[in-house]
Amino acid sequence: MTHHYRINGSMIQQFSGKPVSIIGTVSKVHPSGNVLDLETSDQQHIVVRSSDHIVDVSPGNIIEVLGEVDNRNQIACDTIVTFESEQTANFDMDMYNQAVMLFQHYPQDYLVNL
Amino acid sequence: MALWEQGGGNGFQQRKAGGEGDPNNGQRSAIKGVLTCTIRTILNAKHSEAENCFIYKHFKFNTVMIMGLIRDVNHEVNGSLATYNLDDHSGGVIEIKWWHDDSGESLKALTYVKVVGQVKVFSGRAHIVAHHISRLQSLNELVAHSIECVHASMAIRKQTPTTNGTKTNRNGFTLIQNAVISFLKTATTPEGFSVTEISLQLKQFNENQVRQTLEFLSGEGHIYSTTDDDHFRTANNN
Repeated sequence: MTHHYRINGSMIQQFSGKPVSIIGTVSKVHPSGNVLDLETSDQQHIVVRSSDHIVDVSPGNIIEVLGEVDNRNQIACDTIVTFESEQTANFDMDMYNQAVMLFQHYPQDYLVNL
Repeated sequence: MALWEQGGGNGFQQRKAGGEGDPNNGQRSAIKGVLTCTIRTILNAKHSEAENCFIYKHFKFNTVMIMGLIRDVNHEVNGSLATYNLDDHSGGVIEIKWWHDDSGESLKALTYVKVVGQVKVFSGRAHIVAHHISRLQSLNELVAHSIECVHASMAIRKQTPTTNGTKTNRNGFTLIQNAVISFLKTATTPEGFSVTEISLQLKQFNENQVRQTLEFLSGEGHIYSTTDDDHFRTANNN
């Protein structure tokens, strides 16, 4: 278990090769069942490749993806966290986006353990 | 009550409970309040016997609030103990021990929960004895929690005493108060030292600061004026 950085779409390149956590909205699940397109909190689109068959995920769902940024700026993901609709009903994606960007300015406290 | 809501709203006051004569001194937590933090902070911390709390960098705590993903669930068969392994992606998984009655909802893997509990160490490994466990009602709570962790760290870091003149030293006096008292202690005459002499000696402070400090110290009874309002000595018990 390593530290996963919370990032958004524009930060993907910066975190190439690193473990990340991304919360976003599913735009599409590929027919293969292992790949999905995710819209990030800053309205960018990224590709998520899962090691397992993706279940319980539909377009429009908000999910959290945990994995690593690969050299194609896609996410090689080992865990997808899904939520109940009540949990994401009033989710403030913009606030989350601001928080993610804010953390980068306070490494001493955001990364206090590293 | 969160750690920063104590101390009259002045900031993050980490107070100690129980004095020297307290028979429960060894049992009671020295640090009150709940620290909102990451799991990695708890795993990195070392238990201090002297201060009866866990310490990591600027953090001192016994009770924590964390939020993480349940990775494993272990229920005692016919028992009241549930053990969860919690992961908040800060690097590390921690065991939560939850003594429950049967009324609670059963929590499943890959769901986020909020846990408030006491940190304990057993066989060199830290775990948490939970007072409270609840499912996330909204994903916004997760964002709020992450922000709170960063905020708590920042506020506690700023609260930790520095060599800044306005912060207090261990004996409760500020830097300038200590400097004035120390100098006055060296007085050999009944009239002590004058404000001018003190200002000359303490070059790092201006006369106005010295006068204000003298006024405060004499009001508290640590020093007293002698031949006139401008001459001072320290009181006996200093």
